[in-house]
Amino acid sequence: MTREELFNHVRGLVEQSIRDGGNEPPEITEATVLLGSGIGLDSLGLATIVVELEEKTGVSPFSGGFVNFTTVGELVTLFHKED
Amino acid sequence: MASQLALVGPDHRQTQEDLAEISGRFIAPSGKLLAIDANDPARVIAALLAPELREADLILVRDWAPLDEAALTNLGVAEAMDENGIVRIISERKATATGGIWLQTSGTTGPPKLVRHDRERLQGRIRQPITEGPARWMLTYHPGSFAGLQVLLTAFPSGQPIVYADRAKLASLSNFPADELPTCISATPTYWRAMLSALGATVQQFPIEIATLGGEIADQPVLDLLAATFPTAKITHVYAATELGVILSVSDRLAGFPESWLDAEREIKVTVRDGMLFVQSPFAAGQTVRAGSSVDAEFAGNWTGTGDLVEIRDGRVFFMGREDSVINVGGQKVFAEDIEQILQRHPAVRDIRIYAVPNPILGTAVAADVVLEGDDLAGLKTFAREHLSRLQIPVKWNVLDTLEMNAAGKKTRKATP
Repeated sequence: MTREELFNHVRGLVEQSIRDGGNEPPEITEATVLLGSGIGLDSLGLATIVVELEEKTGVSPFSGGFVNFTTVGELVTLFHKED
Repeated sequence: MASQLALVGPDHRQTQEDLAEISGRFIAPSGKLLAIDANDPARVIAALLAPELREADLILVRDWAPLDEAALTNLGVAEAMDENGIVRIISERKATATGGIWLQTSGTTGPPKLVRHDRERLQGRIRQPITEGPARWMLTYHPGSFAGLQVLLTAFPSGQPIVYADRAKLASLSNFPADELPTCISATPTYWRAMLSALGATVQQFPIEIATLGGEIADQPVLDLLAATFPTAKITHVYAATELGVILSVSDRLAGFPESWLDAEREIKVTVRDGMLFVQSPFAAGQTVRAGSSVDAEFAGNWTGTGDLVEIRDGRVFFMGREDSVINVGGQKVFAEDIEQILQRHPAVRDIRIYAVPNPILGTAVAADVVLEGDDLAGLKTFAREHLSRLQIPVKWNVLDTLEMNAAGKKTRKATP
């Protein structure tokens, strides 16, 4: 998966999670702050997205514990495997 | 020095006068039992600070469902303040109130319990943290929880504003005036991760002197993350329970606690039996009541099993999770059986098993192994969102042909690797 494909996949997951919470997602970009910025994503939504990304990419960036990240772009980078 | 006590946040500010107005609504408080909706921090702070309520017993109510009119009357509650701050007179009966604080436990199956702590004793146990600047506390826990109460009682003597920010708007704390930023924060590991994630690098400018973790297992990565973010802060992880009070407080920046604390001559004694941590504390709750019935149990001074499993490695005792089917999701307890019962009602579910899985965001989260009738997993997921509370929703679904049983014919609850 290219980085752009992965970004589009992550964006889809974030938008779906916000919709599942009964909110309309704003435009999601690389710079969108995931938690605490009022976009409608909470820790449970993010936890679910991380599990789905682990299954999809086979990458486990958190196997040694939590690594801090803030934006959608930073999350994509954590899961992006160079081909 | 004039107290500046207030409740401040990015988009709200309640002064001491505003808080006094709320507590002034009670009519005949002294010596009575009062029930207060505890879902608004301002209301809880107002009730705790009011001099005229010092001799009252306060029930901090998070959920009114089990505390209906009949239950309140049974308990001898004189007045109740609802979520809109409206006070109702419940009973003229005199309850013998002497300054207790009653907390609602998250409760296993059966009616939720009320746990009574003596306020003076709670206050007497609190050690003021040593800080260079003013101790400005941030309230991150539910104001009606044991941890929230601890933070408030610790914060009051400083006379400083208490910071409270809606979890969904944590990022806006970065626009907060520097002289009102919190210096002391106690939060669950999940809250800390969410806050550090929301604020990014700007959080390093926060003047944090005290960083405390509670409510969930504090693992080494989260302790290391806090130490790297706030190098000069005192970092402590606390182990406490509503019924038992504060049990352990560990400040060496290492996960777990020293093995030498087991079976030691300490005020609060801890031991391990069959892999579970047991506690004997004189500071445990005086009594526990199930709504509408009599005293259920006395914890103070008695050995009590915590339900928390521990493992001893290299002179250190580590928490490993729960012995029962409680799952601690981001500091909130959920019950595997409750979730199974609800999801079992969906027609596509032939069999289901709910268990805990480690999760980098939530510490532990809920996972489901399910045997389906047909293949409508999407429908089941929608059903789960509609019928479960947020933290009960599985983050991971495995569709299986059959569920593994143990020798006794029971579903095993161990996580599949």
